[in-house]
Amino acid sequence: MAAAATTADPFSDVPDDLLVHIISFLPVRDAARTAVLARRWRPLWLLTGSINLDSASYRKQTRTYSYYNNTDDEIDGGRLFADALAAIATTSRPKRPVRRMSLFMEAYSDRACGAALGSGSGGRYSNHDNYSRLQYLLVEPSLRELEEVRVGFRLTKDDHLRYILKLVLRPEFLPSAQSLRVLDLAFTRLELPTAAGGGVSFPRLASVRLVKCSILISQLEALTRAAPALAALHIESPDGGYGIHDTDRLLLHCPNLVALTMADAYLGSVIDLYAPRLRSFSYSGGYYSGEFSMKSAATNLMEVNLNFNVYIGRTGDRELSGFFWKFLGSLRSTKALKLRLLHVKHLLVDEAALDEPLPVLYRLERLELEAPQDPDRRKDSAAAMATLLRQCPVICHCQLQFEETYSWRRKGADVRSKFDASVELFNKRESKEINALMLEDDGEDSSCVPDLPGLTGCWFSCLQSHLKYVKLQFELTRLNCFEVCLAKFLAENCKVLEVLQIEDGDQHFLSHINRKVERWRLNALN
Amino acid sequence: MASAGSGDEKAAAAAMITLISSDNEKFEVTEATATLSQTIRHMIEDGCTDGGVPLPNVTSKILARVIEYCKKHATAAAGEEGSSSSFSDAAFLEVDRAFLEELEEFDDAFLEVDRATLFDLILAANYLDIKGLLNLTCQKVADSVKGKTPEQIREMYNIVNDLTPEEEAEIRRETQWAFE
Repeated sequence: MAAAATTADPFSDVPDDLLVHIISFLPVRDAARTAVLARRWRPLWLLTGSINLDSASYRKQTRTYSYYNNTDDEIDGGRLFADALAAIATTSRPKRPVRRMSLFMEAYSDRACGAALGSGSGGRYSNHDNYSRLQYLLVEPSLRELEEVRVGFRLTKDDHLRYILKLVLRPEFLPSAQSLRVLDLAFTRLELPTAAGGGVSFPRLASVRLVKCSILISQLEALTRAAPALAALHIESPDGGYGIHDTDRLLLHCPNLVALTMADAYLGSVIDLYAPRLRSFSYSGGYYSGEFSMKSAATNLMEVNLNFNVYIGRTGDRELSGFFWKFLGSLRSTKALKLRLLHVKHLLVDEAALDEPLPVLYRLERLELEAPQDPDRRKDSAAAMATLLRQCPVICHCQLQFEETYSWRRKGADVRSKFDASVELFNKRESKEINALMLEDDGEDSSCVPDLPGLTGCWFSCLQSHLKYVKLQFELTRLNCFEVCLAKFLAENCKVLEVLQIEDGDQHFLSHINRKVERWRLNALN
Repeated sequence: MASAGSGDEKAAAAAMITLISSDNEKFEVTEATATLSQTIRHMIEDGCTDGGVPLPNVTSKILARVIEYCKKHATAAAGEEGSSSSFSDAAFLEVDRAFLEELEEFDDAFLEVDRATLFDLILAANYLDIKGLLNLTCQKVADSVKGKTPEQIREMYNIVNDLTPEEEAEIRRETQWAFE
């Protein structure tokens, strides 16, 4: 970043409103100090409408716990919040209210953060009757026009803690409820008035993001009900710990919700979602013991992202696939689907045993699938593929990966040199199958690519008029592996295929296999 | 590294827009890339992009970087076609973490530029109204002064202090808490 020997002040070309924007990213202490840089800067920090509190400027001392050889920063919370009050007093004017407030704390442990927030010892051991200093700050009358509240923590310790901060969203504790648009919180326990008598409302709240937060299911329901304008809801790693499941059914009533994300969600409850304007839905987490269903039509649904990465609650394959198709069934109107499963066999169902037919993904155009297969049970992979092709009648873009580890290709590309790949190729030259692949003159060797029972000979409507693009990602080990068979099947049976792309990581078989694909295709067309 | 087996690249080629830099260089980009810029989006909506979009405030060197950014981030925004501007707050639409990480790495590498370029990018992002790029670059400048004393910042950026000692003392008194 060695700047050229410029003698000019680069800020002189930057208009005032942009300078204000730059200052708005600074912690309030740094922002206030820009006032003495030069005459031009003096009034600018007062115009940001933002108060950013950052523990970095308030390191008190460092305590070392010799036993663990850990150090724990002490944060001077008293001064941090005193400065916040002083800043608010200086900046807020009747016509220029503070609109954005953020708090960021970084320390070794939750203990230091909790202490700085004045909420006892921090973490789950904190005194629940204490209100935090942040809560006292939010009661300030000059913050009643706040639009954004963000709270973040960075802890160096590998933690298992539940929450650091308690925030009470009652009108008397949050005068800005009427103007609030964005709530972005981490490690926070949220408390709302009980559904009956509270009377809290967030008429403008559009975006809620809760990371590692703790909230009773009934109160999450109350929060969404109090925020009819909610457009984006992101819940990540919710506290599944004590006291959270006060009811086993969650109804999210969100008439304006556009994007819903539930990441690392291990809720054991039934979730009913009323969201007629939903466009994007993401779920990652376990196959849990609850259920998910849509209580409204989702005619705007554009993308669904499902990542089932943990076995929880359900274990039998049948049970898992039933759960999976039911889950997907309520989202069947989506146009794009990204799907990550623990095993490809979770796509397989015994249709006779179902109470209702498998859902048809009648609008699905794009599919990305990652589902590890058992290389010795090609039958399962083929049957899963057949199920997908049958249930997705208008699919036109398809990306498939059946390998064990996700993102093997990217990592592999970093680690393995071209030289290694070539050596490997050289070592494999004796293998008959690889040899057949690499033959310059294309002998009639299609025989070593077997047909796929369950796919070959079946008729799929999407292959007649829709499926144009297929990408297969795999590491080529044997010529008769499932992916090669699938490539052959698609080349021969897909009438409108335009691109069949094969990515085999670092291996340099591409040109060979692609030549084969071309020939299969020609044979099929003739 | 990947290659197409048969057929050409996606036939339904997206609409292309030509951007013309101040030094008269032409850049052909897809509409999805170009419309990350609200300024260009409005021009397209008004139907005045035939014959190219002249951008007299942006040099070809900077425009090339801006397009690099937009290309990367346009793929991130793909799938939410015609997203309403009222929804720009929810920048966390996509949750594919691997991709988000990749995007973050890209952003970090993207910001490895000299100071003059960084400031030119800020001005271009402001003119073209590309919110993500503007925030990214402004944050970078803000980070560079974080925790520094006013004297250090002045020296870093060649800022001439035109306040009288009395004025400066007055400001320091008014906001004493920030200078302790």
